[in-house]
Amino acid sequence: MRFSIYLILILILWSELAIAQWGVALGTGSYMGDRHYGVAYTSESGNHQTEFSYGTTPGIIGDEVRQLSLKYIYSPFHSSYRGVTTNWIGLGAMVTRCLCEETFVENSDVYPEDDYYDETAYRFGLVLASTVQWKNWEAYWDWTLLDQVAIAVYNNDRFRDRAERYWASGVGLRYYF
Amino acid sequence: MKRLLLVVVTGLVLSCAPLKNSPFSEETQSSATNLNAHFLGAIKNSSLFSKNAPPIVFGVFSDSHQNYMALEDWVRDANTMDFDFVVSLGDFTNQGMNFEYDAYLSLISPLKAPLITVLGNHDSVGRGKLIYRRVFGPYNFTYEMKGYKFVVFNNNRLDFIDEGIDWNWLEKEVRGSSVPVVIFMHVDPDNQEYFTDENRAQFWNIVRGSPVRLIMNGHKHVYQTETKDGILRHQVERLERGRWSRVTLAANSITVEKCTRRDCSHEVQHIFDTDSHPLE
Repeated sequence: MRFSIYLILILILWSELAIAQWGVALGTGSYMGDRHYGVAYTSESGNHQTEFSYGTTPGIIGDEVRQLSLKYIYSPFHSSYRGVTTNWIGLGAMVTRCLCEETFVENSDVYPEDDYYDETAYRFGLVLASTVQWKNWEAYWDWTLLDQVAIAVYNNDRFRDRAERYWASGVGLRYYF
Repeated sequence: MKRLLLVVVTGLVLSCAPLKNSPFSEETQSSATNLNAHFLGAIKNSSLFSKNAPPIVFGVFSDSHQNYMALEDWVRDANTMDFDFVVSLGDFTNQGMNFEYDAYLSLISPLKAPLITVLGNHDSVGRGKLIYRRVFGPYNFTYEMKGYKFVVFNNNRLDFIDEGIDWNWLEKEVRGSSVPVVIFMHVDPDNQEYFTDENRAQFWNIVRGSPVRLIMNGHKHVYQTETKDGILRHQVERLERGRWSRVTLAANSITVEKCTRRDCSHEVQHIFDTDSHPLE
């Protein structure tokens, strides 16, 4: 729990320091929701990008899943050609928090120990991302590896060469004001 | 040029990565539904035992959690053996999350024998209950084979505090049986963390003097075998080091073997009276 709060604060602080452009974002996938909407910040240099979003995923037999996500990407490899700026590849992190009753940060009192189960409300991820910006519009696509998935792959070395199964892709669009 | 190469290589590696919406939802990549019923369809509901009928042989593993290599190895080994069916006694995930269910479904898909999957407490966390219901079907169900009745019972009491455990259903299915009964459940029935004194007494009151001959559970991650009130209870070790159990059910005897990969030993045989057995 404490780790989650520190990570969120660091990401927010980082993004605040790097604000140059801000805009709105709309996307799908990336473990951030079937649809996610939010605000995006990009630094003057284009090296730092942060997005904070609210995502929803329709329930199949349960209620709709709602979640808040924060994503930071560092992408130093970018270039411009005829007004089109490309961030070739960036590396970053994301944290997502479920706004649903079924998940928890602390175990319910019914369990014999406080840490009987690991928390399930927050998930963290490693993110690879690429963007293409033209005028005020930016398209992005990214790939996310969740913490629990990374741990499972680390513990099962025979599965490391099946990367495509464990990464989640996502796409989206941003408009900068 | 280097940048382009970097993007091309990364893109090639990740281009097959599927769009995944939320780790918190009951949405799975697999479209499988109601798998237990599907597998039950493959288990013949044959007529009652005849004296010449071959015994029932099944394999049981438990608590595979995220030990995916061990599960993959076990499926490969199991496909070289002749089972009437196999049982997974639950806790095939750590946090009941959709990507964990997908990993399990992907790994068990090559299994040739019909597989019954029991709900474990870890599989119930988060939206795990919803995923289980959608992918595997009801928590409690029964099936019959060669004169034995198999009862799959959800006893994850702490994870079902609001819904409650259906003791009445268990009593009806067990007491109403005219043939020997085998119970599959995740938690050991004498677990002091999971059950109150009243719960434990209630369970043994239901099974004592009933047709129940064998109770199988996981949860504790270690082998344990005991006979209580004339009923054999066998706790299956976690799969991590290739541990599992093989069970042979004959007309009036039950044999349980503790196995590691393809080697089975430490045999326990339980011979019971045949009063409740129809053809003996």
